[in-house]
Amino acid sequence: NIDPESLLPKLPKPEDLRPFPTLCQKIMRGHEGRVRSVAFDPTGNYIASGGEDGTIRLWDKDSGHELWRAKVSSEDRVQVVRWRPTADTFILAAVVGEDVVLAVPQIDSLSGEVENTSREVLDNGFGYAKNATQLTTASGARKDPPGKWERPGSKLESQGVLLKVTVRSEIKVLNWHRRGDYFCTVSPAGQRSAIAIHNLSKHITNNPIKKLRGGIPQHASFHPTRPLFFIAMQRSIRSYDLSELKLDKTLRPGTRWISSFDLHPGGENLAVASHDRRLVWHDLEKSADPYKTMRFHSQSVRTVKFHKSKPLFADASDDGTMVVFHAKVVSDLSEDAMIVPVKTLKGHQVIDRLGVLDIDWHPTEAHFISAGADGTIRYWG
Amino acid sequence: MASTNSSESSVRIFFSTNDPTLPLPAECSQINVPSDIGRYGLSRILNSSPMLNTTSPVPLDFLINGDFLRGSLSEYLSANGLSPETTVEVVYVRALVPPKFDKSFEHPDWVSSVDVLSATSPAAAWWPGKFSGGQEGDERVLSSSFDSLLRIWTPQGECIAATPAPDEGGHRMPVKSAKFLSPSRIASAGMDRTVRIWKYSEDNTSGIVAGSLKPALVLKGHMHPLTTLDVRGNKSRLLTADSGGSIGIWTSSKESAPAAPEEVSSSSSIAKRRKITTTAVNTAIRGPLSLNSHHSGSAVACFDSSDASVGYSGGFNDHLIRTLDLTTSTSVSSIPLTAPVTSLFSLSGSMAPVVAAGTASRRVILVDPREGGSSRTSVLTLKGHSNWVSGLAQCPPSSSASSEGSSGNGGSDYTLASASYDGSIMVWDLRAGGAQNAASNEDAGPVAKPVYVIDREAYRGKKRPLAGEGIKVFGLTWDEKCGIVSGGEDMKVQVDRWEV
Ligand SMILES: [Mg+2]
Repeated sequence: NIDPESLLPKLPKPEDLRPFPTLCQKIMRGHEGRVRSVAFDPTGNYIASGGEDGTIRLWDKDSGHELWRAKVSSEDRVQVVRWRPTADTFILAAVVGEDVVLAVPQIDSLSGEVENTSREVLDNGFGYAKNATQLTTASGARKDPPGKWERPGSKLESQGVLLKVTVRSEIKVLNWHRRGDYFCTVSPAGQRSAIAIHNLSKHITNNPIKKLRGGIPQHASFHPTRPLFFIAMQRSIRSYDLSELKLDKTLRPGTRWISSFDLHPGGENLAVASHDRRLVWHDLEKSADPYKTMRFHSQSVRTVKFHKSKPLFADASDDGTMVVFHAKVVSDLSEDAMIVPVKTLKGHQVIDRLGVLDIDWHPTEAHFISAGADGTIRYWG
Repeated sequence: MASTNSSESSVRIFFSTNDPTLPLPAECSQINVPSDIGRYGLSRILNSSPMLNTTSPVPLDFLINGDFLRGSLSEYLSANGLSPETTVEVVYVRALVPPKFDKSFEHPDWVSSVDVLSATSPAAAWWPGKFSGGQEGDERVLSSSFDSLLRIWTPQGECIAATPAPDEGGHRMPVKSAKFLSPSRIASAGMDRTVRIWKYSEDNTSGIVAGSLKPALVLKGHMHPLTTLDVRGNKSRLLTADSGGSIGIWTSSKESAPAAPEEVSSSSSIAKRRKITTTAVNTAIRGPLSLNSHHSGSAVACFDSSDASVGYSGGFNDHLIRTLDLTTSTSVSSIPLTAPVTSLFSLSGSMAPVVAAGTASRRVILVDPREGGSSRTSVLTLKGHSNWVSGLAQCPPSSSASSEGSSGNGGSDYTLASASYDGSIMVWDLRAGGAQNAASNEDAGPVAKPVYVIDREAYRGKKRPLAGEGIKVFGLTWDEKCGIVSGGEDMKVQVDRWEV
């Protein structure tokens, strides 16, 4: 008579896995309508946000006071905000409609050195753009380039919005390469130009992967350490070798509709969020099938994000909640990752069936921020 | 086992205190008391004639093994598994009396810090004879705000001076901290990376008090927004910390301050605005005595309570408390904590040289910096806040040194106040700390609970909002004359004081 419970591996208790966020410590209001995206700057001292009111805003992390804002569109919502990941610059990329705008928020807390470096990084590519060859179609007609790089106009420039890249259809996703020279965008309706890789130092946009099988592209991201690029379609995730543009691997999370994914900073594991309420863990060293499938939400899981240095990750759902997990990853093929849900965080109101739309971890602390359909940004610690 | 009819049983107790103003005759220190006695009964016994023999009754509190006696003695003994046969050591202390709400001063934006100028405040003590006001109502409250201005207030709540607007020589971003250097000089630290010295003067020739705050000196060098400022006005010294982990040491004297470092000026519109400003308002610019990076992320810093050549700094990202030799501007030791440090205070008097650190993990952790090195022993952990601890202040020493304690608040140098983003100020007796209160392995040493709580006036008796929304307390100071003065997200300076 063996107790079946005794055969299950023993998981540690959440209280032994501290620190992890347990409480809402700040609520930041100001956006009119939904807040679509939030991001900590590389130092962790500032928070950026973008919302359906067409503004991008900057907040003081310590107090939650708004420090700066720019209205980047009167029609379109700001879909994504993401910081260029290196601390030598203070460059915020924001997605609005078919555009990516790049801003250096105009605040007097910025040193002249960081501001000048930021401006140089944005301006350096103008020399290259002049020499870009004019694209033509087979019939000889002029064709729009995959990305048009230009100044956004004096009104925006005076607010610090210094560069604009326009692609052929509406963008939903933006992610930076770790060195900050490249960023990728996903335009789900873009067909052969859906996946774009943008070279900031040369002001050049490419569509390196044109043939996409499996429906509509959902998400894309660079590998944290290796020259690999990941694209999520509705039901599968493919990785490509960037140097040869060759398919490397296909993952099948077993969900019907992937919403997004995030790569573990160690680069050997990947978490997938899905509209069919599941959170899926893949060990890239192992099989194309999931290592673990988890269901903690009653609605769509919109996003999942790993902490950069602590064994933590969290997801966010349209049910208004976020689940925080402890994830111990061992870079040893014989040992599996240990994943323990440690906390469910509640607070965001669900409005018109939308809950938490984006999250981002502080670069060093066990703290994260969330963007809500209820118009608030919340700080969890 | 606890006896149900304890009225018959008695317990032998041994009274002691560390309050020199409340001596007990040696022959009275051991007595038998009924075991069902509580705080009030013990207080009455001690206030009776052969015992303390005070002119008027002194409300007392009692500590047994670091815990305040709240129920009856027999309840305490049974709850802690102690035998009623043994002699119980009881430490008596003045009961802490909460202040009463006095006034609020309205601001157009959040208040980040507060300081007080009074006959008993540090700035008056540093410059004997320079503070002319000795009368009730002559005190001044200084506030700094997220609207980038500093303001001076009378205790009646009149704003009598403010610093100029950004384009006329004022700070260009929110001010995080401001303090009196002397009755006529003020220092402030801003998110615009500058430290500024202001000349303060008053004119009441027309019978109405009017103040003036004029820029005297701009101190530049920090590459990140400033977080905290501490001053030693008598030494003309300033200690600053920024959100990049650098600690600055400065002199407020224009003559002895080094030249400002050549800063890369930006090519942008901000730079153009900056140029216009510096030419329009000709304020001297100087640099730091030293500016060094001591933390891997945002930092806070304070002077040692007695030695202006020693400072302490705390890190948000690296969780370290460093002891700094300010003469050589080097870190001489560090103590690792388990949480981001959000405020720092060096205690004086009986508690010196203990340093109190407010943390993002809602606790105040007291450490002895002499331990240093690898030792992680914390002296005491204060647990009760539900959000970041943003400010700390010790009960000021009583100027009259009377046997009646300071300003009737019952406090001593064992009394500490803490301000938090939860919207409250908690007051603690640092003699209270029972190891049995340590509920988790996060708390290394003994743990104390607050003696009383001061809420924002609009939320008194009401449930505080989630995440302290709208009522976060950012700044706190404790002055013998003005009481507990605080400022926060409710855009108010709140004064809570004791009746004189
Ligand atoms: Mg493994």
